[in-house]
Amino acid sequence: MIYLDHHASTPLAPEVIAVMGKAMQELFGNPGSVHAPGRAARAAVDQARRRVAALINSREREIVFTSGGTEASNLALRGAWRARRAGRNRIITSSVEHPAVLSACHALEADGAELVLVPVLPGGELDQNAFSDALDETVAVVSIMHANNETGVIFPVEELAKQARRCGAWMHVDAVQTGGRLPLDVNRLGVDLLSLSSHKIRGPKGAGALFVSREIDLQPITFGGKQEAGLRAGTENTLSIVGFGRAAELAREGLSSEPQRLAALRDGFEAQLLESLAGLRVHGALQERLPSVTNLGFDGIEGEAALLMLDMAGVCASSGSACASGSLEPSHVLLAMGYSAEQAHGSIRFSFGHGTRAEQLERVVELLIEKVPQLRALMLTI
Amino acid sequence: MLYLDHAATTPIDPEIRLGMMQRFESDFANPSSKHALGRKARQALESARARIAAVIGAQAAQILFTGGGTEALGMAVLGSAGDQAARIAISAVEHSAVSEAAYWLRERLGWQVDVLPVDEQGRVKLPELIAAVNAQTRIVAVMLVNNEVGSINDIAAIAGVLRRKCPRAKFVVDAVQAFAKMPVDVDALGADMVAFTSHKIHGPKGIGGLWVKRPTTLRPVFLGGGQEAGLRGGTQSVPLAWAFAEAAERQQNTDKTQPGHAERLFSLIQELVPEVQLVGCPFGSQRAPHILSLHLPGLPSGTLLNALDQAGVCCSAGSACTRSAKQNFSKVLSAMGRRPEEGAFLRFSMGRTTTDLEIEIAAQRFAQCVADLNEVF
Repeated sequence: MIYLDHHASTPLAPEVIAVMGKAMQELFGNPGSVHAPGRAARAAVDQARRRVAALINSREREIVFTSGGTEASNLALRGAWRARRAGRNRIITSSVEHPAVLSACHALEADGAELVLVPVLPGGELDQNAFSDALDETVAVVSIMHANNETGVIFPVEELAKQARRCGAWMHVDAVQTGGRLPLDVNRLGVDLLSLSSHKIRGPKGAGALFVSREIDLQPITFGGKQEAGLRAGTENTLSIVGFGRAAELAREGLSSEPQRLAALRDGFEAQLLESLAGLRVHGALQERLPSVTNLGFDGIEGEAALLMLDMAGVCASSGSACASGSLEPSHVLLAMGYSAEQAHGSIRFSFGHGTRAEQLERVVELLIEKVPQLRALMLTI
Repeated sequence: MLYLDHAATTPIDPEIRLGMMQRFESDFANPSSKHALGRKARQALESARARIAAVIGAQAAQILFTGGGTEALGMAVLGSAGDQAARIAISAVEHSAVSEAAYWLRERLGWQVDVLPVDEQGRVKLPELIAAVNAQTRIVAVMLVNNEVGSINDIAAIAGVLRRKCPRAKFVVDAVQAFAKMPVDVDALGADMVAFTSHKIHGPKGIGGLWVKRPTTLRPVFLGGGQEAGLRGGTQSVPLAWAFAEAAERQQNTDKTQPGHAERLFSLIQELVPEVQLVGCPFGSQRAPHILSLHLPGLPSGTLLNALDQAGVCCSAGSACTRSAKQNFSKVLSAMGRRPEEGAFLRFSMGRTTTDLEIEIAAQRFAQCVADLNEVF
């Protein structure tokens, strides 16, 4: 099995499984209980909080644990909407955000928000003129992803945050794909809210975090106990949080070498394919990209057919976001970049991670060189 | 250490722990991915859903996985509230997950919250319920088993009242403390939504569920990639879902015929400390067998709790979810007419692994702590 779908989810690090195994035996208390097992669980959650804070250079108290990236982004947007000041009814986001952000924004639109979707240019970069034009004193919150989950194109969130804050708007960044994959410093980025996920960085599912700057007064969207500084009710998922903390620590240690290693693998993969296959596009190729992903467009093939072929050969990849992959809709990201539905349907995302090796990619290159012409011939006969 | 706080949370069953360890390694894929590993994860997720549905006599499509009981209850209450402000009726002893959501509806959306009084045993009083609800009532929430005192409400009778008085109201039942511990049949309950969680039955934290009679009528709280019938976005965890299903079946298959440990602990304590009183319903069909709530006149709860903690006995003075408000007296006990000046109120709650020996030692240590403190006080 060659797993090249690390943007959908990642295998857990053995170190993470080890701390979780230990936690399952030793840390069963409810972190809200005052007795010894409760206090031990509380201490473990707080240690994980320090580790996640260290990953993005925030203060410990600015980390709110959630059930994952989706919940973190929902809390950021809906919580910011509930906390908005009078006269601020506009929300700005991009047309290529993850469904977690886009659908939360559309729900707020139904609640009366004026939603502005900033387009991207054909290369995948954000249309910065449109962004600046949409910004004014009526904006409550701006939500722009750090890097796109499908193409890896990195947005200049530091610059965008400056502009947003100049207008008095809050800046949210969906960093689910970049947190732990690129060095991140919330102070340098100058953002108010930032979403992170555990299972994209070799941690378990069931944990994520929202960085909430201490400068802002976010409103909760879930109610009950006063866990997570009153911003997220419910007994803490100690086990997944402890795993997330260890994964964050490992990711931080890997930041000095892993991005370069993956970039070299990815660039080699793209170069070999471009050399051998005609009718191939690398989406977002001219932009600065997250090293863990390549999004390839093959002329004249059906991406789903190619994925099936890869699947049968033991290669796991995807045609876009896993969250939307139940549907046969073409990728909204590629459509936003100006590609046709047909081109979008002919696209495959390969995403790389800790276990990815050059030999695996060579094998996939061979497979594609052999099979893509066959798939094209097949398409012509239909 | 004697852990008698299973209503707060439970240790994970060792066999489930091992199964989870394996699945952390093997079932990491995103259940929404279409490749072989994704399909395997999806299959495992749906199998867990079907097993959980079977425990409460439901259909798999009616079960939504959530991040826990609080989220399930919040989803049920807030997801049932339409745009028009109306009335919500909640019992006076609901978990904060329900009451805080109701108060949010009042403060932010102008809803009227009708608090249903309970009797001195903590059960909703039917005549007061009948008087409190009417055609404007859109949501009613009454818990099956109270988390602090273990009293069981007659949910079917309440559902009968609601069908006559406010047929349009959605009836939300918090079954967190009852799920798999006593027979729960969603059709027999007559509810519209039933919430439950994994970590009270020796499963992991971080996963719970909501049974929804007609999922299409609910509005989502977290949006995202369309998971859980579009009602709860976020990548699902196969190891957590599997563990939850496994825990539910194991809990359900536990022999329930043996006399409850709570009753035994109470009688042992009473022999040693005769002034101790039972709080809530007498042991029997109106009381969950795993929760012992007791009252000891003359000593403050905090002092006794601390002494027991020092003596290696873990119990609690109320819900762990109200920790930050621990200076406040339990609202459950207040609603039952009790006052903090009366003395200590403690909750001991038993789990599947609690042994007779633990019960005996706990009773002895309790008596010892009381004796030691009585010298001081």
